[in-house]
Amino acid sequence: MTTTPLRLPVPLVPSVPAPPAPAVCVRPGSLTDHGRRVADAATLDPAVLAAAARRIAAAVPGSRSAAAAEALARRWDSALAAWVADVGAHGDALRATARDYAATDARTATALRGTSS
Amino acid sequence: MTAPAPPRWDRAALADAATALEVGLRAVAAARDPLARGPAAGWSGPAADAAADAGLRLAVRGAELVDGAVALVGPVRRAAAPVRPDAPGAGAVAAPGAAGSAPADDVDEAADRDLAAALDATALDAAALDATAVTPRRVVPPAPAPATAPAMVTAWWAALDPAARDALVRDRPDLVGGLDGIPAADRDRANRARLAAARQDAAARAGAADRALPVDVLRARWIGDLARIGRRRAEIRARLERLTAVEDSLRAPERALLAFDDAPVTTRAAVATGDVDTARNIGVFTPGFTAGVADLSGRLAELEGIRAAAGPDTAMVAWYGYDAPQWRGLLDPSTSVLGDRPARAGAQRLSRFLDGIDPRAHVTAIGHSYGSVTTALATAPGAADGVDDVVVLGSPGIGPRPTRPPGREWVVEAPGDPVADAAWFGPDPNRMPGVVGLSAREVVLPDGRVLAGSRGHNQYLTPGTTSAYDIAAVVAGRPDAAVLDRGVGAGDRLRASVPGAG
Repeated sequence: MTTTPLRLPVPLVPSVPAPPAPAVCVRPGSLTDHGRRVADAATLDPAVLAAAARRIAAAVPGSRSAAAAEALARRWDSALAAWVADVGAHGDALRATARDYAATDARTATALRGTSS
Repeated sequence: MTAPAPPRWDRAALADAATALEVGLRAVAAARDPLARGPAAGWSGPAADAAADAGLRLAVRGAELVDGAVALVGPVRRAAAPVRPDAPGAGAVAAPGAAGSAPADDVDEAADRDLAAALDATALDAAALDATAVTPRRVVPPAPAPATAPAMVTAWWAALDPAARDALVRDRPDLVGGLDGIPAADRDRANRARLAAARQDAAARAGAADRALPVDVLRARWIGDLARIGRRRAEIRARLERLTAVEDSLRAPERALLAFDDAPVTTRAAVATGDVDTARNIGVFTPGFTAGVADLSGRLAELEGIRAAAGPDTAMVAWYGYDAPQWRGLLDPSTSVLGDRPARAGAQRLSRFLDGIDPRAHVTAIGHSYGSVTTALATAPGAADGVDDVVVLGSPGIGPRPTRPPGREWVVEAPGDPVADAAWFGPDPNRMPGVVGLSAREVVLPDGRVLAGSRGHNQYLTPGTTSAYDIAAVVAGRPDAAVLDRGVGAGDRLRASVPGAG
């Protein structure tokens, strides 16, 4: 009598489907360049608008407009400085992300090579 | 005493200020330009979307600053224009350079009011803009691939802010639950959600199969159809039973579902008792031949006993995260208990799981029977490197040499355990130098407690036994409290008498 190996049937119950993974594509070099352009934009003088407002104030001394121009200069000082800082941080983040992508890829390649040894 | 002279406007300076304003707004517009161009070329995916969103928000804020400056240029230019000498009322102005211009220091109240109103409006807009300023968070790269080293996964997870982690647990439980290196608490939340969904799906399929049975039977044309219907129903029922078993194993305090895989013909799971994220001592038990998640509740009850004996700050894990060989796979080399292929496949999973545990904890890997082969492979040089001690129970051999330094690898062999003398996968570990034997016999401790002996292949973890006490001592990092005994019995003596029998 021959013995037939016991085998389960072809799986009939699929597992719960995972959500489709979004397509991920990146060129770290291109991302680095983009990050550098954004970071370069942050070299803008954050006082450039406030300086103009203060020139307005200086041109109309003692008037209501002068007080309003001084107040605007303070607002622009704050708003533009924050925006420039945020743009710089965004540029830095993009460049750091490019580095992380490259590092993750390199380490994953090493890990995967390790699984075949 | 004379009254102070009324303020005078320097209209030429005002015109220069308007020009400076235009120069400034062009500079801001130029700085905004790279943000408005969108993400880097060739970049797509969730991180690219997040970066594009952050860049767009910055570009909008820059545009609002520019818009405010642009809106102010006109009023400033008008205020800089000379007043016509024949102007009947406030605010009448002539074009710059027009004939008959008045002296530049003439100021009328209406012009001042208009310019002040324009400046105030711009300041209000700038204030609102300033209030919305948020430093963008660093864009985090997409989740690492499953084969990525757990330490990198841990670093990636730590870089996420709590809201992002919560969102991933909620929206991507398959990702979070399956990645070694993510904290146990987060994996538990994700895996419980996956288990609930799988259990609901299995119950629905079982119900549908029951309802369809009469029709399926009527449609059957030959005996093979009936057999197929029977197999399908058995498969659906078996899956539901496995998922129910995992669910039942979590119905006790301090349990956590650290790994979960609802595969078509098997279910893998790792269930902890105790807080793996904070425990100082962690034991990870890997079962052997015929093991399945149906055993989880009973196994965890035994591991609770080990945990209690080991003392506070201890967690134990029942790691059923691989396809342990079964009787049905005996004749298939890829699944047979007679070969090491299931152990090798399991060792890859186990080593990643072990490396995902906080390296500050004292970790003991415990393998029973065929699970000792899996454990030895998972803790061999080049595999998991965060394990401090290895304990093998009733082992059929673990390879040519110990995987730990001397004094950190332990073996327990109970009397009457034939598997422990098999030496099928290598020399019997209780005869290997560097491997320390722990007792499985009845003993009386110095404090008068009597510990029961274990017998056969399946009593190593039984509460109240010497072997369970010894395992707890090693897990607790107090091996000096263990009772040593190489466990050499009749089987070993018989083997020793046969040349070349290990």
